[in-house]
Amino acid sequence: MKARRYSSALNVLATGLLVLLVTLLVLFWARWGCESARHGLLPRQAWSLSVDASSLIMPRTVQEPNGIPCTVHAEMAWEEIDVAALGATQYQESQRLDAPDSPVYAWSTDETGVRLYYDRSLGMVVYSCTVGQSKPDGTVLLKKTIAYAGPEGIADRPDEKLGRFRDPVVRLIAGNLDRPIVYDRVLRQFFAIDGPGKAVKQGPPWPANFVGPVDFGWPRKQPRYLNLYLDTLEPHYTYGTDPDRALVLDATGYIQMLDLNTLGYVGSVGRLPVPDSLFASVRRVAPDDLFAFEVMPVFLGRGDLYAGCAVAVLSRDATSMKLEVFDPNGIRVAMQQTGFSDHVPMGSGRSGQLSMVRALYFKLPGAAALTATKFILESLHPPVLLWLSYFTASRVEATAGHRSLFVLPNSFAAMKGRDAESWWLGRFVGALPFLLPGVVVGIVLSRLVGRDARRKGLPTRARRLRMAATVLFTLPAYVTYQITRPTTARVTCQNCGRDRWVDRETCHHCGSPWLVSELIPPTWRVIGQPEEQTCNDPSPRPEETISNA
Amino acid sequence: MNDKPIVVEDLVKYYDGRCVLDGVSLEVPRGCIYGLLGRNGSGKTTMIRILLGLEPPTRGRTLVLGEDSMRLSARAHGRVGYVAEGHNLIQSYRVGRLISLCKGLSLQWNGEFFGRLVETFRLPMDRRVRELSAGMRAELNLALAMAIDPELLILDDPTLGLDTVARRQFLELAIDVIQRQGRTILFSSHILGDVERIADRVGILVAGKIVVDCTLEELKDRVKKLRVIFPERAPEDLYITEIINQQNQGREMVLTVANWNRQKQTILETFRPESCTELPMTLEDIFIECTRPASAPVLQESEV
Amino acid sequence: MLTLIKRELQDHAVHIVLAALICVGMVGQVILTAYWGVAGVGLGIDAAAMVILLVLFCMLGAAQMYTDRANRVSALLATLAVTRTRILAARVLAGAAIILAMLVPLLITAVAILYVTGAPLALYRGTIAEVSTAVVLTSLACYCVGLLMGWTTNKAIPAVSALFGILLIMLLVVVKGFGISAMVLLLLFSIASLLRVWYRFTSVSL
Repeated sequence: MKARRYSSALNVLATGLLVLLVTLLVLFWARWGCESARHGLLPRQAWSLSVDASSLIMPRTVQEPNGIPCTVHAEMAWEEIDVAALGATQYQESQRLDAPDSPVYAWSTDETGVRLYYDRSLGMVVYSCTVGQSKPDGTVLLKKTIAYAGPEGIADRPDEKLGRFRDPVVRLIAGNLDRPIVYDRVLRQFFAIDGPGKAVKQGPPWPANFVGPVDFGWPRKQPRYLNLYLDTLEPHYTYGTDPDRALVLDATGYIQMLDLNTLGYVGSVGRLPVPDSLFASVRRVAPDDLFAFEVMPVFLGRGDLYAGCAVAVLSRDATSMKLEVFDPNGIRVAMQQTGFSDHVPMGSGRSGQLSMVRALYFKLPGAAALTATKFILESLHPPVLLWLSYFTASRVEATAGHRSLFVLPNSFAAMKGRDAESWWLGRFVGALPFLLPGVVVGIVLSRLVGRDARRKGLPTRARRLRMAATVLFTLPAYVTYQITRPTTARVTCQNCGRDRWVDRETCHHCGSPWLVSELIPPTWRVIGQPEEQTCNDPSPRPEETISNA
Repeated sequence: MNDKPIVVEDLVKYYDGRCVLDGVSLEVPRGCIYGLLGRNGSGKTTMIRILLGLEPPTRGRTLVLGEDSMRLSARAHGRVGYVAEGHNLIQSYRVGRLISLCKGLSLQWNGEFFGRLVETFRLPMDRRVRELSAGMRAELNLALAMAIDPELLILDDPTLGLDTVARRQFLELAIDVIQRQGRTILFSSHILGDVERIADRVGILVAGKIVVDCTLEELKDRVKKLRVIFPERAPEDLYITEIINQQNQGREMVLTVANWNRQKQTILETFRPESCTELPMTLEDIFIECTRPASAPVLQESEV
Repeated sequence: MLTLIKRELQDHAVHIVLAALICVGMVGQVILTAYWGVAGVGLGIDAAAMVILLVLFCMLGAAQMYTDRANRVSALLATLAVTRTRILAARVLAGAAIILAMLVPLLITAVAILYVTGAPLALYRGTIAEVSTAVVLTSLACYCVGLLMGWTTNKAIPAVSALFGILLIMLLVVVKGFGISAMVLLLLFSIASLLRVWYRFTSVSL
């Protein structure tokens, strides 16, 4: 009996898990369709920004007293953004050779070509190439060179004395293969590998409270979907990287300047702008809070004069974009964010400037319906997961949030959870309109489950467990109950007249045992005692013994 | 070895709200040939299927070789031979393949004995099971059940489809099995002549209950059919308990009584019958009397 | 147990042959594409073939349960020296063995081709392991969908519901990618499906 109960409980749990997965998948794709439709409400031109950056260049040239026109543009790959967020796309992107976390920095499919990569098994950055040496007789001798670089130095062979990089981020500043810069997230130090000089320079060790870099050189996230470029007529002005300096974006969203000779910071030159959001009260953003960003440094001349940087960001839910330009001292000199220009219609013949987010959620034709649909879909999500989304709102990385099945970092509740302006109680109260509908649905379904369970005669403990599960998980729990509830036949109880289960010894309504037989057997019996009678057990006949195989 | 290879305790089975078995209890002692009888739809096959774990009981429990039927181990299954009603075999298999499968899944296999059976029944190895006649399927089923040298043999109407010769051969085989010490057979059949020939003990299912569970001799001894002639019209009520059947026609009464004893004899004599003759009954006669519904008319011999 | 597994493999030889043909075709196509073909076209054909293979695995599971129910195979087997759990375990082991036998050569071929074309395989061992495991788990999940849906006497139900199940599995992989989270979910899905199949199989009338 106990074994039967355990296996029945296992069956309920297994069924519940299956139903939960199926429900969450269906809800996910419904929400995804909603978000895709929302992005489709706007034309392509709405997803590009341009800002005048002439102030970065004008005062610095003496040859051009009237300055050189210079514009910074940011564009979002509007039609690809919804597919971009899916796990399959993200996984494919992350495995490309040129992905930010790729261990390969240069790779020639020809073994004689240049290869620069991080070998995890050795913990070293490996450089290999084939160099041709001309001989006196005119022939060319191909010589393969391999170098192994660790935190402590470079050698021709992997050596323990070279140390091990644990979790490196490697960048080729100015495309210089001979001088990769390494930041090790475990060792918390910068390293500069000098290939020709066969030396590794170590930067100063950072203190324990130091906020480590997320990226450096030309910090970018999701570069295929957010494109930042500078438009100027003067080719002498370049933008890109300087062999002696690099921008560093840290985990709090600040942009620092790194001196590649000393491998130390020399000053703050900007920060990630805060894009518009539905509850526009977040004061600052970290790289993890953004779906995409790009930090583009601007250098003048041959790259030895830092003129400032342009930063573009795409919000967590990809509904707003912002572009800011900073001067060399880190002061913002220009800003623009997505909105509407006059010629973009907004329904009812009106046009004008509007917050992009508000327009996408409320004002544009069809936006309100999509918002209502999003609200309904989130209310159908299991309340326990929706409440978890509220409490973990800031902890989920932005792109991961788009492929999340269980918690909803882009839900209204989570958006409210990231509201930094209110006190925690005010924030919670503000989120209740988004959190409570799911609970109400759960309570309604739970009452239905309880009523049916009582009718079916489920034990009190089981009934309460089912009801509690329905409050916490609503739809999946309700469907699970319908699938796994007992289906044993019932007959009329002779005592109370109500339906009773045939597999119970007593009636679950009145407690009566089985008083009257379902069938009417005869009153007589002919029952012998087994012990009194002996069955025939003749000894085996010798001629018929059977041999076993 | 288990003293009681089969134990049934208060077994109840419902099919979609319809009760088939209503508190059946019985024990089959080791070494016994137990004949389970009942009319069509009385629950014999259901009880056997519950014993083998093919059906879950609604209430109550059954033990086979000391193990709960719903949790029979592979070892216990391997010690039980089963011939199902309708001879449930994998129809698409060839006979040879089916034999290999059963042999591969058996704990022990008496190849010599099986070979003799195959020869005796003349079973074709290369034909598919569905191409065999009903009788040949029965023989194959029987041979497969016997080849594993079972400690307990459960036969659900095993001679269905067998011709007379094959039936006789089966009975001899059954006796052969039982002669090996400690072997037990539970079988149900509608051919009561066969049951009478080999069974030690019989059980009869009526209205979901076991109404008879005793040895054959005891059954014949305790169930009596009497023809009583009264001086005047036969009384409607004799005040005798456990009357199985009573037919009155004028002064004549034919009475079938269970557990006939001196006390009942005395009660009958108080009505001063002119004569009281015991009519001999075969097992078939007893079975018909026991299973006839109370309201059903009895065809008199003159009317047959 | 081996007897039961052998029986399963013999009874569903058709599915094995079909799956083998598709896999051989895919291996040949991968080799041809690597040396002569257009990468995009090759990938498209491979993807379509992979989907067909997943459908076949699902149909295998459904066929195993359907033929058992329709032909009352377990009603016979359960009276022999085996338990229902063992019958089901042999069935699942046979299915898993078929899946691995089909996919492992395919994955080995793909890795070999990548190696020959000079890709940095040694640096992407983790990725190769992840993708391989995800493909195997996806196939197993599709097979489990077939097992779940196959226990019926109606021919249409396993076909329709299995296709729906496969669609869900593939959509799950699209949502989650091939990483650890997808693998965990696929594994949980497979375990839950097998538990439910086991419960139904061991409690139903045979």
